[in-house]
Amino acid sequence: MQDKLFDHRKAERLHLHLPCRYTFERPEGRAEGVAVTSEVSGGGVGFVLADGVAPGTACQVALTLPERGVVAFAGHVIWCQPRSNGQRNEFDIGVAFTVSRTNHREAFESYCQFIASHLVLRYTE
Amino acid sequence: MSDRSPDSTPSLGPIGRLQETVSQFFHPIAFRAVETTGELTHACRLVYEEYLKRTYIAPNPWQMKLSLYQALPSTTTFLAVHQHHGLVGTVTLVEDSPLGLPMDEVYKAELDEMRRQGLRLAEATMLALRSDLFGTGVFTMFHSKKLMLTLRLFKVMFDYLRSCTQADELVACFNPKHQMLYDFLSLKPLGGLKTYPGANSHPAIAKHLNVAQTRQQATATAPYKLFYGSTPSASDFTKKLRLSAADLLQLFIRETPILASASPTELAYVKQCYPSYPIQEMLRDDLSHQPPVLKPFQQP
Repeated sequence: MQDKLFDHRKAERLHLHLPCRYTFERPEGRAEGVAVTSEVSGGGVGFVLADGVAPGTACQVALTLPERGVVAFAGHVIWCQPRSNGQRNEFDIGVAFTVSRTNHREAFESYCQFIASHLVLRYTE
Repeated sequence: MSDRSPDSTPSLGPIGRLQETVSQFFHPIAFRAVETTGELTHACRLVYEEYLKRTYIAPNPWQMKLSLYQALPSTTTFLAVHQHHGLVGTVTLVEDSPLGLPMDEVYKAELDEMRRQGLRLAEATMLALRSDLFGTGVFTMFHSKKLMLTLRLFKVMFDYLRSCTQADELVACFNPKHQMLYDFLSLKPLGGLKTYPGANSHPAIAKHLNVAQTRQQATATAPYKLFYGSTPSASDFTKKLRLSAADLLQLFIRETPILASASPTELAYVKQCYPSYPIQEMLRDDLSHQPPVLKPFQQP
């Protein structure tokens, strides 16, 4: 019971497919592209790419939120691994946002409202 | 899908399990109005402990966040009570009265303007959740359990507001760092940034919500879909605590000096609320009182 009651996760993931535009600042140069998220949370997003990206790589991610427009955040890659279904040349990429409420206030508020709305709708009977 | 999270937090596995976990979390939790003075005491202690951690209040010897407003029959405290773990959250609704509202301390001009328009006010105040449920650094807007616990508390309060009061406007003042939550609930600006002595001189902002307008938006926003998902009934609150003379004596005279330190005007209004209670005699009793014995919290 203790384990179920006391929950120390900080953000829940939502499996939402949002259009996103990314820019990676690789040592060999900037790489830009578009993708669709596989999951989003308050802390970051996950999406699938044909090429791997080294964890720690700095990036910018611009998400298109339905009815809210585009929000852009800075972040960095925190994990990259081949897709678990065994397909070649595809990688699950996880990006953690490095959001400052001051510097990204408007985007952060919009993103918060978006995430919270989806959480409420998911758990409203 | 990957079982690794982009936010580096421990995974709970497939999404179905996440839903089950949230469902399991809420299944043993009842949301209702306070029914006993023991519960009221517990709620005031929870608020005290949580606000003290955040330095929103100064320590006091009775270790409760209790005020004269809670002695009034028009003030109602709501609880989230876990079947096994007891109280996990609380919020209080104070209806406007000749004593005003707690936030009149800093937003009287703004509230008086609404009163002049003939609007009946009620203040949501003393929101507190057990912080050890979620760990530190958990942002309400991103955490389904914390968010839903907060909203379910607001819902039971809002149900009461709609079914048992005549209030036109719900008002609140809070630390600006919580502004996003109140924006999510579509509260509108009422008063700007001020220092709130009642919150240990922390900053505060004020917002309000027109109850009738929320009805028009019942399907427009996620929180309102929750709030309007079921029709409230006054019968849901028939067990709401009505303070007896003995309760007033115990909580507001013996355990705290709240009634003893009330102004003549305040005391007159309390007497008006409880015309059959011998308030003056009860206050004299304070001089010869015995040390109080607190009743344990009663589980549902």
